[in-house]
Amino acid sequence: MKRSRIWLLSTAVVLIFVAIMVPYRETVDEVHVVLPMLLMILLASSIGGERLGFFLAAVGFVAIDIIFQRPFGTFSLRKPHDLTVLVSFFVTAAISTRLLSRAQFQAAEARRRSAELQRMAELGADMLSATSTTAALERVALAMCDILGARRCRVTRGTAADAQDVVAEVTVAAATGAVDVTETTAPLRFPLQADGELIGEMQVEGVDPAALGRTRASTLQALAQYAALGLDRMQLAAHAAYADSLREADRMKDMVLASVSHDLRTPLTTIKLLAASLARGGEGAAMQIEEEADRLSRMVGDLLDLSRARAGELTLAMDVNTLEDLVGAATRQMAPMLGDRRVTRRVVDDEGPLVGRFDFVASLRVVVNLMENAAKYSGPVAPIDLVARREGGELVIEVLDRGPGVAEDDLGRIFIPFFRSEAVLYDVGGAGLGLPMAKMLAEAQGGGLRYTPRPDGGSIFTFTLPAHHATFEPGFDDQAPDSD
Amino acid sequence: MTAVPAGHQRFVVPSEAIDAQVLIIDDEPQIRRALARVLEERGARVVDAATGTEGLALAASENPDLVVLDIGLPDIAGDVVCRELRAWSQVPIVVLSARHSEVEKVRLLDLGADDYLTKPFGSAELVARVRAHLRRSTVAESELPAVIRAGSIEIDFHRRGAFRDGERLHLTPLEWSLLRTMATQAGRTLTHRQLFDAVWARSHGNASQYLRVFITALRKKIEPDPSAPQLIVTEPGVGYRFEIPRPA
Repeated sequence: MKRSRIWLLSTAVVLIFVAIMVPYRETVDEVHVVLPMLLMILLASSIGGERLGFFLAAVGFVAIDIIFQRPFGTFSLRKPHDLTVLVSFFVTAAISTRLLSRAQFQAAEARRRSAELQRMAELGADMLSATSTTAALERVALAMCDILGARRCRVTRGTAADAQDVVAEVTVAAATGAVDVTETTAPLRFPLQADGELIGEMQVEGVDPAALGRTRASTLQALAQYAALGLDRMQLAAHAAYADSLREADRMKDMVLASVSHDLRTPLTTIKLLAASLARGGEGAAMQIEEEADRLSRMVGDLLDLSRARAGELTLAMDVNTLEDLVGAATRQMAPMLGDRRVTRRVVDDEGPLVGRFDFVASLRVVVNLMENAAKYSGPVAPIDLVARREGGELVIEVLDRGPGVAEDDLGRIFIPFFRSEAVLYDVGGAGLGLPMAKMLAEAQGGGLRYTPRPDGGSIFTFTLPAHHATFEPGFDDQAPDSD
Repeated sequence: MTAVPAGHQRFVVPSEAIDAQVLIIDDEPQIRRALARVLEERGARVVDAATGTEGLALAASENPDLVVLDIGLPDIAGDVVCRELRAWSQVPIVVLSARHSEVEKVRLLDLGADDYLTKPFGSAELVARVRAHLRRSTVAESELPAVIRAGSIEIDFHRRGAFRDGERLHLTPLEWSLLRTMATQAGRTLTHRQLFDAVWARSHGNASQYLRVFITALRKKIEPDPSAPQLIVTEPGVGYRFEIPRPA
């Protein structure tokens, strides 16, 4: 029903009531007029609003004054007898009208909020179930257009104006608002943040000002938050896909490495065998061919081991072993490489054998790498010292050289794969994997590897392993096992 | 984890000839040719096979003095060939493996192989191993040298003891048992398991895990320089090998 009609109708009802009551004005008390009229005013204001209520109250006030108060037919506020009744009537009508309309407004507001909440909840569920992150973002954009009566909403990724790229855009065919507001309203911009960092923006164009006025700021914020979540999810998905492809590439690399290093062994064997034959026939360069084949094989082996270790495929056989055995095996293995270089070995075992629980092969690799490193970086005849001892709950092997030591700048980097100090100008061979590999193997066994500068020049590499604390007596189980 | 040749130059006498028939079983023709060349240069007679089936047939018909067996054959797994050979023959088997793992080596030795070489190996290493196994297989245990000398140390099997400068060293029964087991199979790598079985007579008590500690104690008594052992050589991750030093 139109507003003017409600006004006319309710005014007419009041006037008709007045007309009906006129013949009885001599006999009926004023109160019988006032109370029904109050009821009518309340009814009218609940339908037609606050203003109608006030209007009818005024009409009623005048009608009562003129028609139902003596002397009849005159409008005068100087009818002292009845002024109280009139004022009470007006105040009651006004207050009831006001209260009613406020209650109505609050109910409407509550309905609206509840609808908004419902809508946000549905949107949240929608976003979660959306098949793609783009679809989820489009739903948010659509909701934004809907709420603001906007023409277009788009979500962009990135921060710098030139690096933004549109990831979702929704255009609504015709704005719901009656007026074309495109030209008058500037686009609204909502910054989108994730973890306190700006990741994109939501732009809304063609906003209906009335709709904007109706919408609470918190609703808009919530929508922007949804969009930010969607955008964040999109980026996470992209990261995950990237990480997947990296992992796959890494796996491929490991496979290639494993297969190459495996397949290289057969031709390398042939090369070495034939080189030895040539050497027997007096070919001088043959030995060098064999040595280079060995070097190549070591490098490939190092790479393979490192990639295995990084892939967590390193299996350790932790057994009861002794440092004495380790030093002996390292000495033997290094003999061909060390040639005439003097290696002093000091095993401090006055308090019994240096027993620990460690992986012999891995630990041997550590010691050999340290000795190779010492040999590489010190002069061809500079001595290398090897010390094995116990220190508290640890077994310690120290490899000491008289090389240049490690430059201050390089201290943090010598254990990083492929690092080669710029301080060393000559090519020392190897791929820069010896120390990183050694450190990794030491730590995998619960031990450690550290560098300290050696007094009077050179390096000390200290390799530690946990000692074995069994109460071991050599010979405790040493009865004649099988006599012959 | 590593295949660096272990100071093999030390026990190689290049002039020494190999007077024996060697069967090579390997699917790579280049390896077969190179192996044959190295061995023939030293006087060996070589027959070869590209598959396990062919290899087993040749082993039966030719009765070679030694078999060099590649573990990665196309038709039969190398360890099957190894086991089948062992079923009827005591011929020394030297296994070639491209794999880089100690577990693999131990498995092969426990299966009855006498030795292994990890690719890439050198000819000196190959010849030394071949020669050591030929020598061992042709010498009966009773013909082992009664006395092994290394520097000032003497190991005397008749008198059942070790001596330094003529003075008897105090070996515990277990240490003597370890030493005797390894020395009577000199040149052959015995896995930790094989040593346990021989010395502890299959009763793997708490003591067996201390094998390495017993070896350390034994070396301290018999090695001229225990920190650079010459008699009892460690094969990292695999076991120990007794090496008879060449007379200087």
